[in-house]
Amino acid sequence: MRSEIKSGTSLPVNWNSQLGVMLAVSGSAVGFGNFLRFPGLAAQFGGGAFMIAYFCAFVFLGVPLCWVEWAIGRRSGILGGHSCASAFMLISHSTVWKYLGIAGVLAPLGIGMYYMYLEGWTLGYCYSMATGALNLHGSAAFANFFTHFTGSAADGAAYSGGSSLPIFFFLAIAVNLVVLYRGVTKGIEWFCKRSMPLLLLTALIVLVRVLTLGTPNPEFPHRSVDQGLGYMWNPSKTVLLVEDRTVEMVPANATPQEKGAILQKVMDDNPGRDVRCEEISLIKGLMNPELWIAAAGQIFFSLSIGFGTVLTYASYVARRKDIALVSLTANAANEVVEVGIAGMMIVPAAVSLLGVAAAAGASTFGLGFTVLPEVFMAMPGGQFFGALFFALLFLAAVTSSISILQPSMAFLEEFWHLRRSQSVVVVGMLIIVGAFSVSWYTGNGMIALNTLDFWMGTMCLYLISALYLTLFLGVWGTSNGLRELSRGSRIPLPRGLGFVIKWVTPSILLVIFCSWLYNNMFVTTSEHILNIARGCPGAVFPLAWMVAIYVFMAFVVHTSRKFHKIVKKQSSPEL
Amino acid sequence: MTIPGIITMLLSIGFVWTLLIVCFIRLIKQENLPQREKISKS
Repeated sequence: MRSEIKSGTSLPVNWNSQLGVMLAVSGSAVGFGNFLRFPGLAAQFGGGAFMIAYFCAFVFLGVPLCWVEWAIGRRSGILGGHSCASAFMLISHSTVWKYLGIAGVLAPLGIGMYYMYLEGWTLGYCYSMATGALNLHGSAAFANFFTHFTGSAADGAAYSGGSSLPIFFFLAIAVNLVVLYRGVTKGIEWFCKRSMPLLLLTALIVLVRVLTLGTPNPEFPHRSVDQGLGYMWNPSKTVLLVEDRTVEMVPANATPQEKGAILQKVMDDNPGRDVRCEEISLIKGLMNPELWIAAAGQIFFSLSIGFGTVLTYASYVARRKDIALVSLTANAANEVVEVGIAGMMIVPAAVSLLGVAAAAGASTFGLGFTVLPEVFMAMPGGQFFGALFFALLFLAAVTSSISILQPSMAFLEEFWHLRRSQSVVVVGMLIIVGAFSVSWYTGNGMIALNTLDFWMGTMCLYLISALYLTLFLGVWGTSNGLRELSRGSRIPLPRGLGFVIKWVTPSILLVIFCSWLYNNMFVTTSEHILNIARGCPGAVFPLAWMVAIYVFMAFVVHTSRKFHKIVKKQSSPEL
Repeated sequence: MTIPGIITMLLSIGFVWTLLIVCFIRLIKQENLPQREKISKS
C-alpha cells in the first residue's frame, strides 16, 4: 500500500504504512528522558502523587499538543510543505511566519548536535561493557572512567587524552547520515520498523533481569528490588536527607527500633552534617506546585513536542489516513517504555545494588553513565546485561536523532530543491561542526552541551510550541484544525477537545514556561546567561554557530523563488 | 513496597499498556482494511 500526495512541491515520498509512521514517531519520542529522567523524578516526588499529575499532564497537555502538531503537519503536507518554515508559511500565507518557522528547523538541528555526542557515549559504553573495560570497583573508579572517556576534565580532553570517544562519536554521526541518505521510507521507516521492536525486546530482557535480582547483597538486607520499587512507587514514604539530599528510605514496615537504628547509622556516616527526616504523602505531594510543573515538563519533553519532527513526519501522511489514532498510539508506546519499563527498571536496580543514596538526586547523565554501569557490574551477568542496556540506549537515541535531522533535510529539499544526497552533505557539515564544538568544549561541566540544551533543547521548544498553538488557534482557526485532525479518523475525538486546546493546554504551557523562566532568570540567574555575559568560548561558539545557521536558513527561504511561486498558486484557503 | 504503592504501580502500568494495546489493535485493523476491501470487491 503506497499512496502519493499530488501536490505542487511535494516530494514523491509517503509512508508505506501507518504502522511505519507510528513506530517512527514513537522512536522519535523514546530517548534518554524516558530511561534516565522520568524514574528519578517519579521517585523524588513520590510515585502516587507524581503519577496523578503526570497523567493529567498527558491528557491535557501532551495528547492535545501532539494532535495540534499532527494537524498542522498533515495540512502542510497536503499543501506541499514538509518543514516547520514551509508549514507556517503555507497555513498563514504570511512572510513573517516563514521566518518564525525557521526556529522549528533550527532547534532540532541544535539538539541533534549534542545528541550525536551522547550517542557516541552510549556506543562507547556498550563497547566498554562488552569488552570488560568497565569491570571496575567503587564509585570513584566509574566516575574517573566517565571523566576520562567523555573528556569532561578540560576542553579538548577527549581528543588529547587517549579516549576512544572520537571513534564512537564519528561512527554515530555516520549511522545517522546513512539512514537519512536512504530517505523516509527506505531509511527512517525501514530502520524504525526493525529497531523499535528490538528496543522493546532488549528493554524487556533487562527488565526481567532487574526484577529477579531479589536481595543481591545479604550484607544489606534492606537493599532489595522490593525496596527499590517501593522507593519508586509508594505514594507515602519516609526518607532521610543529609543537607537536602536523600540518602535513605525508612521501610514502611520498620519497627520504631529499626527506624531509630537507620537514623543513627545515617547520622554516624555523616558526622556534623544536617540530617533530617521527611514524610512524603499523597496529599502533601498534590499540594506541591513544583510536582505539577515537573510532571508537566516531563510529559512535554518526553513526547518530543515542539521538536518539529512530528510536524515533518505528519506531512508525509496521506490525506485520508487516521492521524488522530497514529498520534495516540505513538504517545501510548512512548508511555509504555517510560512508565511500564523504565519505571520498573532503573531505580529498583540502583536501589537494590547500591542503595537509595545512589539513585536519589543523581542527574540524568550521572544516573546513566556513572551509577548504572556500577549497578550492572555489581549484578550477576552484568557485563552482558550492561552491554545490552547501552545498546538499547543507543538505538533509542538514534531513532530520536534521525527524526530531529529530518526537518533540516526536508527544509533544504523543498526551499532549494536539493537532491537527498546534497542535503545530506549540507546537514552533515552543519551537524559535524556543531557536534565537534560540543565534544571539544567539555570543560566547566560540559558547557557547550548544557548551553545548547538550555537554549535549543528547552527555551526554543517552549517558544515553538507556543507558535504552534498561536497558528492553530489564532491564524488557522480551531475548527479548521479540528476538521483536519478528524479527516480520515475512525476514532471519535473527545467532545471538549476544542475547549481543552483553546484554554487548558495553553494555560498549562504558559505556567510551566513562566515557572521555568522565573527559576532561571529571577530566583537564580542561570549559569547559561552568565556564561554568555562572561564571553566563555564554550557557550558563545555553539550559540554563534546556531545564529549563523539561522541566517543561512533565512537566506535559503528568502532566495527560494520556486517555492514562493507555488505558495501563490496554492493561496486558496481550501485546497 | 506498600499496598498503595503496588496499586499505584499497577494502575499506571495497566493504563499505559491498555492504551497501547487498544490503539495498536485498531491501527492494525485499519492497516488491513484496504486489503480486505480489495478481496471483497474481487
